Amino acid sequence: MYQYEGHISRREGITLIFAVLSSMLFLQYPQFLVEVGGPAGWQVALVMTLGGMATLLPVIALIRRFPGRGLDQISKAAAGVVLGPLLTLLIATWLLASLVLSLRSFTETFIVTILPDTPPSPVMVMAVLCALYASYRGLEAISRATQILLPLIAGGSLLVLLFSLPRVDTSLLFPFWGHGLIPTVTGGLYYASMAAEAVVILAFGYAFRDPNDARSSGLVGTLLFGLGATAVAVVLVGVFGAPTASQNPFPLFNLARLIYLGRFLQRMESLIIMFWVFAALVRLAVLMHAATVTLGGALGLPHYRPLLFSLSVMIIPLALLPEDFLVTLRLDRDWLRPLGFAVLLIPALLWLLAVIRRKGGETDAA
Amino acid sequence: MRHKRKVGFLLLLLLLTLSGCWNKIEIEENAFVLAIGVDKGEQDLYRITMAMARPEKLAGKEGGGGGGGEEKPLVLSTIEAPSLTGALSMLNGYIGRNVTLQHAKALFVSEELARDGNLQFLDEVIRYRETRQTIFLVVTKQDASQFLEGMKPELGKNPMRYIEQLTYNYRRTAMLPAASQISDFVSQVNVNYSQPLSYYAALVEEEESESGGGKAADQSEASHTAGELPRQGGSNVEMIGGAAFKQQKMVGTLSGEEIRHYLLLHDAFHQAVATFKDPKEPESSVSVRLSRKRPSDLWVDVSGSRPRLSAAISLEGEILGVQSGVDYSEPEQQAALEASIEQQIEDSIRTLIKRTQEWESDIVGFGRHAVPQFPTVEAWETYDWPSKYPKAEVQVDVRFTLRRFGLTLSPLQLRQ
Amino acid sequence: MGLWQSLKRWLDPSSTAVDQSFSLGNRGEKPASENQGTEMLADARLRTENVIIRIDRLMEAAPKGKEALEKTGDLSDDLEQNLKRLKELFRLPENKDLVIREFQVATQPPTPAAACFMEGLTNTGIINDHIMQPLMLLSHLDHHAGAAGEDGPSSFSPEMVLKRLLPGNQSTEKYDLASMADALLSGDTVLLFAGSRVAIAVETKSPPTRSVGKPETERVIWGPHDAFTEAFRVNVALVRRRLKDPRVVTEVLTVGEISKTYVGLMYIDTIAHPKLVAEVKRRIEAIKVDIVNSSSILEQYIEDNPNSLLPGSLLTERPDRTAAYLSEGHVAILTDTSPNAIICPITFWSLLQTSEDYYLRYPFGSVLRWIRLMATLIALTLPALYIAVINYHQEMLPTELMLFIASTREQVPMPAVAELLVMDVVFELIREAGTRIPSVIGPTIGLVASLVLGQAAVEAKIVSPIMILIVAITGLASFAIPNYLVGFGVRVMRFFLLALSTVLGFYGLAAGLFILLIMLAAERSFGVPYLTPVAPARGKVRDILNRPPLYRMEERPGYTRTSNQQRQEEIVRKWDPMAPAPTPDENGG
Repeated sequence: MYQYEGHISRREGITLIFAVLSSMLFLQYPQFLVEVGGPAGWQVALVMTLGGMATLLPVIALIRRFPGRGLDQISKAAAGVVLGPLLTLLIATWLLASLVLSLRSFTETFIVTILPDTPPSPVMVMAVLCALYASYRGLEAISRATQILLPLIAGGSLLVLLFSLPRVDTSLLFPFWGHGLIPTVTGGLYYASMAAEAVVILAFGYAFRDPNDARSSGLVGTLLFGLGATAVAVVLVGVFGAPTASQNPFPLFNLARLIYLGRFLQRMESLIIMFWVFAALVRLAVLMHAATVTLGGALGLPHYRPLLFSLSVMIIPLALLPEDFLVTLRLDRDWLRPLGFAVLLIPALLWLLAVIRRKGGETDAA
Repeated sequence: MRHKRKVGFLLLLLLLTLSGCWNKIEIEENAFVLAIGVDKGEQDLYRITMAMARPEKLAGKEGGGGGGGEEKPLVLSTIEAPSLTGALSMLNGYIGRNVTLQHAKALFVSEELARDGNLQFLDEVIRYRETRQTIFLVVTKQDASQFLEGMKPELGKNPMRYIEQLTYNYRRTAMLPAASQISDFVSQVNVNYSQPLSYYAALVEEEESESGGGKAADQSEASHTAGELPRQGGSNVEMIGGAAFKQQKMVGTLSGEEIRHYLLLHDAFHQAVATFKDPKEPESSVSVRLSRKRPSDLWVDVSGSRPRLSAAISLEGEILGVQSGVDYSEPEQQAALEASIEQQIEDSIRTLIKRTQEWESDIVGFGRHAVPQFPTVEAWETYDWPSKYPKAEVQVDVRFTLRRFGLTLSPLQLRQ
Repeated sequence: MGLWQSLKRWLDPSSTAVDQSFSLGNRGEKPASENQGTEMLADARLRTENVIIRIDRLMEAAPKGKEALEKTGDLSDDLEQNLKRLKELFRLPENKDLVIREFQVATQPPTPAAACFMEGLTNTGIINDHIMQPLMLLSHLDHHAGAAGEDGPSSFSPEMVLKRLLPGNQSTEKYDLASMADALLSGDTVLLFAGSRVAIAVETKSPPTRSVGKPETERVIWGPHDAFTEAFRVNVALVRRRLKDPRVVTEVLTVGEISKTYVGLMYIDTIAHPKLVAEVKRRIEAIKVDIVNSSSILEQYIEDNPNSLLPGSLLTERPDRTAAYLSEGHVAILTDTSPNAIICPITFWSLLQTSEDYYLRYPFGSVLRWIRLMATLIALTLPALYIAVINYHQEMLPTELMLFIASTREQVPMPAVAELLVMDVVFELIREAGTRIPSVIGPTIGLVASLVLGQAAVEAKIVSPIMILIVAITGLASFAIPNYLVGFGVRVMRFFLLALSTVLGFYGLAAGLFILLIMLAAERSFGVPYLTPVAPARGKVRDILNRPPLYRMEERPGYTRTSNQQRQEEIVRKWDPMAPAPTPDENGG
């Protein structure tokens, strides 16, 4: 039987989900938003948030129905001994794919922005070592470290946005509806799977002492992420203009580079990069932990730690597979996101099965 | 067994150091380029001048230089190359250090090249990691290599700091554009709501004593552009006015006074000293310090076949000098003066806008105020603002209030 | 021939032959263990004898009831035999520390008795005046009005001595040799009487100890200046002066087979969690070692993670701090012969606090804490940050500064990392040397070293002036860390971060900080996560860096899970300075 250990509180849950999601903002996601919505990128962000929160509801319902149980236990209970582990395996694979692509994206980002001549391997090895160590020490260690790091990350990004405000030209945010309402809404819903990466909450749903905490963690975390994405989109379009912003794969980095408040307050982007490295490492650590725990549960292993080492060795070559940066971007946008929707269907399916077969403890009203 | 494990772990660690640190470079192994100059090339696409810093000359301790005190603080080198990075790699061939653009502060482009519209190397500026988008773009009247060679600050050692400080003056004199960084340039060029404007500078030979040829009749001192100031002495760089672009191509220069009006319309005006013709005595002038009273209001009416541009500007000012002897502190005289100044400013603004319409370049940015009226990007693009702009009607309304009169109310009466 | 004699010394190999010099090594003699074996056998024989005698007597006393059982021991009736066994145990006459004074108690007839004590550990004044004097001179007074129920005027018993003759404020009865030895070794005087199987131990402890002095490592400017000394009872007294409540409990345990050090567990009964006290006791009682001669050693035996870089419990020499922690629900461990108290459980933030924060007014207390946090961060990251900026991210520097650094570094032959390491080594040398120099010339050397060395190194172009600045600031910052042990941990971490940032710039630095943070976050100290209450956010997060005014600190910190949360009333300042109390006259008093 699986050894699930550790407990997290509501506040820690919120910070974890928020950290995992918002570290995506340091990558290319704001660019995707502006690409779809033009000057109305911030509207896309809003739609994405609402969509994400909606798609999270089955996940939360599932956790609340089976409090204190890990994902593999839930799926076995709801879907049977054969189908259950299979579904868990699917989720684990998606988490793994997300981890690999995140690793590659972050590595590329850091290489292009601050370490130009470095080959990707040392950067990846370092990141994987950090994530490995963090996951080894357990979920509680990760969540506590995130609690301390998150104010730094959020504060740093907020500072970047604040200092960019003098450059914002509000006329660049017009035309108001961007490319029209329909493209905005469809684009937002397409990217709602970005927000639904909060499905990672499934992997540590067992750690909440009170299952209602899972609900507030997931929803509040996604909401905060959405607000952050909106703010970033607004400032991005206001500073660069829609055409440039939609071609900008490192939006926040470029924003930080442009900070020029007089002679002294400039050239600060390298310092802010440090905060983003923290965000990247937190995301990788959480994803690695979630993937390992889920995979271990699916395969029926008694403990996740031995799997951790093999998995870390495996993901580095996998991350080096995409040939170049653009392939990574495309893989992320065109494959991982739609698959994310598929992955979101699984908890919904499990929940339905649990309701139909009348499994699960708490059946209190939502 | 434990011993073997420890040794193995240590070996792994050592492996990390063996592979080397790829990006690590000692700070003194770098040659920092402070300014880049781009001209039209003869043998190749561009002629690029890089001005590199000599650290001990620029920032070393006083007297620590020892001999060779006649060395210039910047090392200049001009190369024919198809691109900036091409020039960099060529430079690395004969400069003993690693040439890097990390601290480049300004990009000087010769007017010849700008008028040709051959600014494709700007893509490199955005794409290449070392260059920052906060560097200034300055169009120089002469060749950029000549400019960089001749540039000599009188106060201070560092020429680039001198240039930087020149750009801060816009707040007090309003004779320079508010900002002309690559980021503004690029974002405006890409979006097409308005056209970019950059700094304009010129080098003046010391021996010449300009008499401001041809402008003697015009007593407005700010109507000179760079290179034409009637002066002698001081450093040989002049940076007044701006260069207007249409997309990538330079289409004209603006004088200092025109820049002032541009800033008024652009709502980036702080204060300036302006000289107006005295309404009662057309031969004399009145000096006024203008400052902004309320933000300028621009709006555009896109209904109809021709867009209608309207601007409402409100200013206040302080009289600095009256040469005609007329006492403007009396209410009617004051009103007359205010009306006259308003009229003069309106005329100048209309002239400026007409000039930009001739160039077909909306540098003032009326397009930015037209955009909110379009619901989607497609609608805006169908409207095609850049073609509609030259046909637009202009209406300007200036309000000017005299606030203060200086230390004395009635002027100096110089009796003959 | 004298010359030849002296030369022979040099030529003769036997003069330097190792064979004939003294050595503890094995040269074909019988192994030392064999010799020691004989001694250990003798020792074992003694103990076994005692055990056998004891078992015999236990069997005898068993039918007589519980009290009789308690009183069985292995002493015999014969005084001479007892004394002989005592001398054997203590290796008299080689061992001169044990003094045996035989005398006679003035009963009719006189009873032979002996007083045994360890010289140096006892207060001989008390022995003379209050033990030997009443027994030798005054015991005849009580001869008839003796112990009730005894028959005959010549009755004598140790109980009578204990109750009527011996004005010693802590006297106990001992029944066997081992406990007699324990008592003797801690400084008591043991009285043996002829014809009695009971010995009396009187408390005459007076170990050499220094008087209460000033704290060495935790100086404050504004606050009490007394510090713990090496005497256990004095330390407990210093704490008890500040907590005059009957609920303050000191449990005393002995640790160490040979050292038998007193370890006192102090806690406040209804405030400290019973599970915590039980856990601490369990860990201490599990220690089975020869000697424990300092609280730091004790701490290393009971801490959660010996491999962690930061301490898992707080060692303090200040009694006021100890009292404060006790009142918040912690447990304090006082060790004899050690001037430090161990406070457990502890969180990381407590390592950054001093008692002075509370004695100053609250804004200044908060400011001091922020400065200390900044100092810790600077001491940790400044060298790594500098190397990362200089070698990887030169674009971060303002151009003027960058040109200055480049110009000063042009003449230095080494890469920046090597320079930094050299200066660091020099700084550590200065530091180590400074702790061992006699205090008279200490400050001078420090000044000379830092100024002259630094200046000379810059002139010789071995280091650049910026490097001196960096190393000096790092050193100063590490001195500002209030806890001595944290300084060591920070030093190690600093080198780790430096290595990482040398290889990967800011990225390496950030990754290193992340790893350190995870390491801290995963630590526990006696069941409390190390970064509470910031990291597991339990309850209100206060009094970490910003110190609230004292009248707002109504609750104890939650992480100690005390039973009694409230420590102050809700409103402490019931009076209003603007509205003075009515004067007594008006009240018609």
